[in-house]
Amino acid sequence: MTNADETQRSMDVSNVSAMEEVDIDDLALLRDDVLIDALAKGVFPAEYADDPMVNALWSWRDDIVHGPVALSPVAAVTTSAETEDIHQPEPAARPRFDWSWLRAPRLNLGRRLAVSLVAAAIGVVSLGSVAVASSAQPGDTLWPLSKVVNGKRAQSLEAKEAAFSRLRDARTAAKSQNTATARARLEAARNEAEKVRDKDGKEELKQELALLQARLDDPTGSPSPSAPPTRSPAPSGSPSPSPSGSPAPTESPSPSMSPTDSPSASPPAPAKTRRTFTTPRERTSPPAPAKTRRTSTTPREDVTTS
Amino acid sequence: MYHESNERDMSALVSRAVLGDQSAKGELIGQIRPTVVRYCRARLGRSGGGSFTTADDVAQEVCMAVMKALPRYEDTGRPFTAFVFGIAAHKVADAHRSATRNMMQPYEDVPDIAAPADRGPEAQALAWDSSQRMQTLLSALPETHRNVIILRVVEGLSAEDAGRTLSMSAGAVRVTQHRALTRLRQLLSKTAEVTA
Repeated sequence: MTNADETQRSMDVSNVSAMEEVDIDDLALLRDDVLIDALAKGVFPAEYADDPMVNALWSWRDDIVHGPVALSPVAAVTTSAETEDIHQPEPAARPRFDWSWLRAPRLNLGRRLAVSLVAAAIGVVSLGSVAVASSAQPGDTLWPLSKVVNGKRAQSLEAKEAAFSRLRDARTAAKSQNTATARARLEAARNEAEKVRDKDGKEELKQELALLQARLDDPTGSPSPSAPPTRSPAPSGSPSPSPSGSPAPTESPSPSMSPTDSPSASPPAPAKTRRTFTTPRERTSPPAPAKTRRTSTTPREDVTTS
Repeated sequence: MYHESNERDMSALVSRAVLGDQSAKGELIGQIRPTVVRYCRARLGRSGGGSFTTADDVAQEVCMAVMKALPRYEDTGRPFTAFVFGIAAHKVADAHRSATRNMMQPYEDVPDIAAPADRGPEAQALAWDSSQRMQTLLSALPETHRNVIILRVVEGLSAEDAGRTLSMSAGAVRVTQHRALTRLRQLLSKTAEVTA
């Protein structure tokens, strides 16, 4: 330590002491400063060999700087060069790409084949499920999946279901001469029908609604609702309630008849009656026989016959 | 340790690193990492199973945080190490907080840690005990006193450099370190009286 350093230390300490108005033992302070300077340089001053605080401080510093601590401070009192191991910057490791995965043990051929087959099976099942689900109908097992795969279609089909349900309610109300309820149900059915896409039978549904509306508007002389054609889901080749072949009112479906209302008077309904609710053939059935029936039947009679 | 020439070099290096120079960033992290490791070891000790694992992990986090904060660094005249120590202090505080939530269960067997070749297990244990005792005593000091001791004794900063880092005068650093050593002596003598 040079005289200039000591002078500077004394001045610094004197200034601080004056500012803080604290009685500080200048000599002890300078002694501690020299001690700390030595410790920082990795030098253990021999005169502190019996000082437990300095020994502990030295062990603590050595533990931090070198990892494992030195047993004897004296043994470690050498030059500061030995303490520079982590003072010096470590050479930056060159980043290398990890190719170890290429050398990893690979699956043998049999296992690889089995894994491939399982993956292929999973893929086929998944694609098949999606394909089937895309044509599923409400109530089917895959209907929930279909709702996910094609939400718009599912929404449309569900609206169609709801519309027909309201329509059935409206017909039932009309049969029991409850016109107000019938109109309300019909309006509800119309609202649902608006949500149906064209490709899902919107036009047919509207025709059904129009027929019932006409009947409600003109209960006496309206066009015969004669078993809404779409309500006769006779499969092709099955006996249809053809007016020309059976003009008798008892053989033809009543105006308010539905497949579920009088199954004995109509051909056996297929399982999915509602989905096959209308067929082109039935929609094009001539309305003329209905007129004949209208002359001989009244809505009141419809109720009784049904 | 940090002389004026070193400080100028560091300042130039930091300026390049702030501008995104990758080689400067690599060189800078290589220079500050030993300092950060020592600081974290001094603050956290051998917590986490008797090794410096926790402290070294925190040091790694500090280095990453420094690199992340580098674009926001502005040279205000203080040494760059002050910026680094500020980040390190926060990370150490986080580590202390998370240590209070440590759910580790004590294990009756002492883990095997390789002893240095130049000393036996008993000497190793004594040395660790001495170091741990000082770590405990330091934790009883005020924050400023502890930081001065760490920067002066462990980091090897001069009183002037430590003062610049801690925003103190060199004289205040010397007074603080004197008070810290005096307090350590008192604490140690009390401990000795209790154990005697």
